Amino acid sequence: MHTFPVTVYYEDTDLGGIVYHANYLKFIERARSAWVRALGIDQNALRAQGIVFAVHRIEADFLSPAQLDDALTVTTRPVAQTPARLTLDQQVSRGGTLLFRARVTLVSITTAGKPRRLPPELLVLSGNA
Amino acid sequence: MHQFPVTVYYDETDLGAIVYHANYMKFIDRARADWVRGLGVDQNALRDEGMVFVVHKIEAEFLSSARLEDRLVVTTDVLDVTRSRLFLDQRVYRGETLLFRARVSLVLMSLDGHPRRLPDALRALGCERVTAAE
Repeated sequence: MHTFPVTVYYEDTDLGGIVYHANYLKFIERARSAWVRALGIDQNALRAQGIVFAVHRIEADFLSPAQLDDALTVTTRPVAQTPARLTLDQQVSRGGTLLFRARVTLVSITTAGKPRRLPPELLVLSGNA
Repeated sequence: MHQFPVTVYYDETDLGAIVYHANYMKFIDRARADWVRGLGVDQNALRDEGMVFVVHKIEAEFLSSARLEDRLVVTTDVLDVTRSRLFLDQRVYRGETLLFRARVSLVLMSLDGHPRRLPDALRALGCERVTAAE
């Protein structure tokens, strides 16, 4: 399981005094970038080859709010994969409290929008690639 | 059904040359704000009374990409209304092409995190749906 720290800044909050809901999607996307980088995938090099990652589906539960200055942790765990699709379980916690949970399905596409196989480094689940 | 126009600007795109996925959440949020305003709900006044809308759950499918300069339309449909919650179906179209679809559940909450009764204008939508189904 990959972990990634996030601190909540003023710009992340909204008039409710909490983190704006769409910003959790940015937090978990930063965590995915750190995760794929650690797996040896260079997204700039992929882009130079005309391949980018695209989010295909997100199912997100907003369980409890985060606030300014909170030190959060994003965890990323692959749960299903095919050569063309990867599903991740991503969670945002503050200490022992789970605040946000999402199932995210990713695909690779060309910059012209055509589906491509995922980079093999990403298919980390054993016996399913 | 409520309709809300969105034009894609440079700051909404990413290195894939398409709209950054999280920005669809902003598009549909703007559409919701416009929708409730049209129903006479003043979110600033609600906030002054200590109440805010909070997103509780989103199920989103990214079906096709939007690009710079695209003229999009966000549609908002009510699926269900309870005392404190709204369940919406929101879609983003470019012309006839469906690009994005989400089911969104929202709760009106006090600033200390307790559910609050929705304004009558929103609660009435639940009644209308019942009436329409009869």
